[in-house]
Amino acid sequence: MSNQLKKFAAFVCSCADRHDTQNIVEGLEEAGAGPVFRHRTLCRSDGCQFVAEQLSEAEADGAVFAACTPEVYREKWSRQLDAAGLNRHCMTLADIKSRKNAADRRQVAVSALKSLQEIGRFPDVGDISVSQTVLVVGSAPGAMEAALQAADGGCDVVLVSPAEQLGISESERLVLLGESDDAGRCVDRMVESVTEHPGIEVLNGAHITAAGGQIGDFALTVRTGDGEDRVLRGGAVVVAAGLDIHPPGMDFDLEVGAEVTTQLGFRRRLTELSDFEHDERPDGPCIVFYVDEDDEDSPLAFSAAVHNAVYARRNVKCEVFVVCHQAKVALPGMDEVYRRARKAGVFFVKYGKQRPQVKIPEVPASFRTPEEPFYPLQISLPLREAEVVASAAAGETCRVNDDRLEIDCDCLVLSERLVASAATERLGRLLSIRGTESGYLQEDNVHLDRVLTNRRGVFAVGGSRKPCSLQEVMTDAQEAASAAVAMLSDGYLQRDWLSAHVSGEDCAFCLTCVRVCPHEAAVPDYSEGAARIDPQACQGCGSCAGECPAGAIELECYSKEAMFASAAMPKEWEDD
Amino acid sequence: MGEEVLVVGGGIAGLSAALKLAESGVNVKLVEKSKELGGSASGYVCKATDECQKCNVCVTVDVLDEVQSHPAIEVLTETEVVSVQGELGDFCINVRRKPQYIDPDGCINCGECLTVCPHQTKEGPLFGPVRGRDTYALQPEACRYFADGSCRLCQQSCPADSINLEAEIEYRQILVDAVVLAVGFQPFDAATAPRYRYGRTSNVMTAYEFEQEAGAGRDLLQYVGDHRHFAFIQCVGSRDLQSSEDCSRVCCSYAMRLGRMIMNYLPDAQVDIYHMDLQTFGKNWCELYAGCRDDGINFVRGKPAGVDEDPDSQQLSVVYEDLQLGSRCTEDADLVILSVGIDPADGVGELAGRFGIERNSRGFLAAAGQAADAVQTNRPGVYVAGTCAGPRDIAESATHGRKAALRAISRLRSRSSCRIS
Repeated sequence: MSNQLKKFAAFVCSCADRHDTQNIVEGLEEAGAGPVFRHRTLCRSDGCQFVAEQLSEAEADGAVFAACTPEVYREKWSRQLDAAGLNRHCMTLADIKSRKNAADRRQVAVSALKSLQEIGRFPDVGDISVSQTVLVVGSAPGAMEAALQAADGGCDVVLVSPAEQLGISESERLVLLGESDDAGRCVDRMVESVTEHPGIEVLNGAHITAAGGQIGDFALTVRTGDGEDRVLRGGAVVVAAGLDIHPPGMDFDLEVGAEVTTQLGFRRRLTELSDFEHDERPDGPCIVFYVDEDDEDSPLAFSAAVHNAVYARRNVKCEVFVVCHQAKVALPGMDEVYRRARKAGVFFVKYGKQRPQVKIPEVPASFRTPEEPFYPLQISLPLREAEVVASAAAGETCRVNDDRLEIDCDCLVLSERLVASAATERLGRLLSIRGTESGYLQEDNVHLDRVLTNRRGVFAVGGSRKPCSLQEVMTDAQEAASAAVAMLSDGYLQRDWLSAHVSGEDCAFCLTCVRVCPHEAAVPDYSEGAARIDPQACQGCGSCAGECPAGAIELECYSKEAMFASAAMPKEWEDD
Repeated sequence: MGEEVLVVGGGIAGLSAALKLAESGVNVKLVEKSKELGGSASGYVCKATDECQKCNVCVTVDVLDEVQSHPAIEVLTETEVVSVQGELGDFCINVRRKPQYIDPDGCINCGECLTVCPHQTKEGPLFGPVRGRDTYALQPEACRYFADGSCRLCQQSCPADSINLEAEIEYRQILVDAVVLAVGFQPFDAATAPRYRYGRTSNVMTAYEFEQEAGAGRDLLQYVGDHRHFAFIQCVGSRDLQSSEDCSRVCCSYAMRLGRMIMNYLPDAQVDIYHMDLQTFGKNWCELYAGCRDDGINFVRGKPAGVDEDPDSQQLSVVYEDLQLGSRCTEDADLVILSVGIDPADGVGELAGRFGIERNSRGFLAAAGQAADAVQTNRPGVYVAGTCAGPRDIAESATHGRKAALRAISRLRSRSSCRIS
């Protein structure tokens, strides 16, 4: 298997021939290039076609391109290598326009060839075959959607569902989906599709106990619902474990009970509240929804409160306040819900630097006389910092008292906390995916594919990577599935000649590389007594090469010699 | 295989859609109204301080390079849709392309034309390649040939014979199976909110203008000079009864990042952000908000009533209601930076008319009753992506573009279509 790459063609662009290309051609030939070609327009389609033809004819292993601004055309030329059946990464570029004199131009082209020739020192293990199974972990819509899309894309799918059954519970439905029954029905339909899909195997009540392997061949050990251990193998892993719903933080020293409830318990409580006698509460009971500042990282806390507030106003005669720090309306469609809430007569009170206080007033002597209505709770906040958004005048429940805004209420509704699920955290640990302090996988990355993680072949979806709405979860799941399918659909991965390479003789087995590798590509090989870097998992960042105390690690396309050669070359800014 | 899809608009959403389609084996025609690809996203400045601020501006560049070199994507710049016929699987779209005086497929970027042009100033007729356009371009308004026919030096000197000063408007018929519309947005015109004195004094500007003028690093320091007091006014043209009642979604994090960038270069500056509610969320939120407060950025709640200018000293001041004191206050500012809202692009109405698709009450290309990030329209085979369907940031636009592409593909290959809309 371990062939060596030896023959490299060179292409020199001679447009307007102001760069003395003959000199460059001679330099390349002297340095041992395979055939050297000149073409006037390498950057245009005729030039590209020329490249593809000559590469096939010359039976070259790779190519050097010497042209002006070659980086711009890198992708174009890679495709010509593809077309000629070569590895698209066996290519180096020389920018001849940036050098002012003929000798430098010649040198820059020659050193590009030299660094390509360095590849010849490393064995070519060829393409790496991969399993076409996608392992999806989770029970919620994100996991189901990823499984369906991957299966439709032609992969085999095993869906490892920690819950006893797929779908989302009644309570999750309320908190995560707001009042939308449509979304709930869609989730039910998805459960059906997943169960019936011939390409998806579902393991309910299964938990991952160990994880190993690399892209193309991951191994997850799963304890199934029957207590059996099974090892699942797959080319890619999609983590879609969703969010956990925790009880609200109890900053007020209150306990959930008759007067204090949560978004989930609220609708049941509302039926009880609606029984208030009319003469006792001419405007109906007063309900206050409270959204804590600490829950602002998720748009769902505010959203759930507003949805329930509208529901209350529509179904029962009552006064409704939403007390929050910021009205988060940036969730798609939330503007409309916020508007509807104000139209429905919901009062919004925004607090400033100080959180509101909740008081439990003493029962007055005149309790239960219609003249003196008594409210079990009182919310109070500094008037100076508060902002009130109201479409009508508030009734007697809301008043100003000594620089404080006071709201009497019958029922205080606190928002549940939505946090990264325990399963996500556990999987992150088992798979060595770094996460944020709050337990979500992968720091927000600026790359467009936000579902990628620090390990190739592992994807984080929806609630596993951030608090998000159902729509975002769906989009994430589709992206992850399409990326996994694209990665595995050929059945093999191409060697990219960017990866790091440990020289077994020089390696002191100190495992520094294993510790520093951000992509979990370096692994100790105890039988060899040396570290080994997985060529597919490696992303060519060079961290290990920089840290290795024995200097035993080199990047294939950027060896030490190539580095010294390029450092010795005069830089463009030195020319001016 | 053999499907073909038209993408209208070469901004980040259109580019992402085109790339996803091409990567999935679909042939793509990408038409763009202006001379260059890249759209709004490519105009912003990287907001990095000592560390990356995750503004996503840089990612456009990667997508752009890939689109330009992909063999399955044909790019037609300076091209607009004129009429639309047909249906899903069989669209016939007529487009009009402005005269291509320099043939984009022939130009080899040698620069000979610019060397011989007698009018070699910044305002001259010839432009070198830029990001988003890898060939030279000619602006007829500034060219002598178009004034009096006296000069054809560039045409005569072009070694690739790619300059034709007699080029004419080209009409083309494009046959495709589906269409993705990604025509972008336009910023709210701040001049229509006169209380902020926009357009009447040079020290009131939109955030985008500030970025363009000031840039980053040394340029920024030079630009701001002695100015140390910056006031950001949020929600200009958003969440406002006079213009749009909706949130533009991107401006809060945008202003916060820009504010942090200013504080990084000018630690002695004062940055005030006047806002109603900060709309950023996600796991970045805590980090960004805490970072802003650590940097000393001053968050002031409320929407300012206006900006005043002292007639003698030209000192600007922001007039607002201080909730703490419950009274009218003024605060000086050297530069007032307006976070203007996202409005539907000019001409999006006509485009919707041509395609026969609905717009929402705000004028964006989104059908009533659809989920907010849906990509379908009321016409089968016509998809929307990016800010033309509603405000979104760079990353969300790219995601939306890819989503539209995936939907179009799965519809064309009649796989199971969308499950949750």
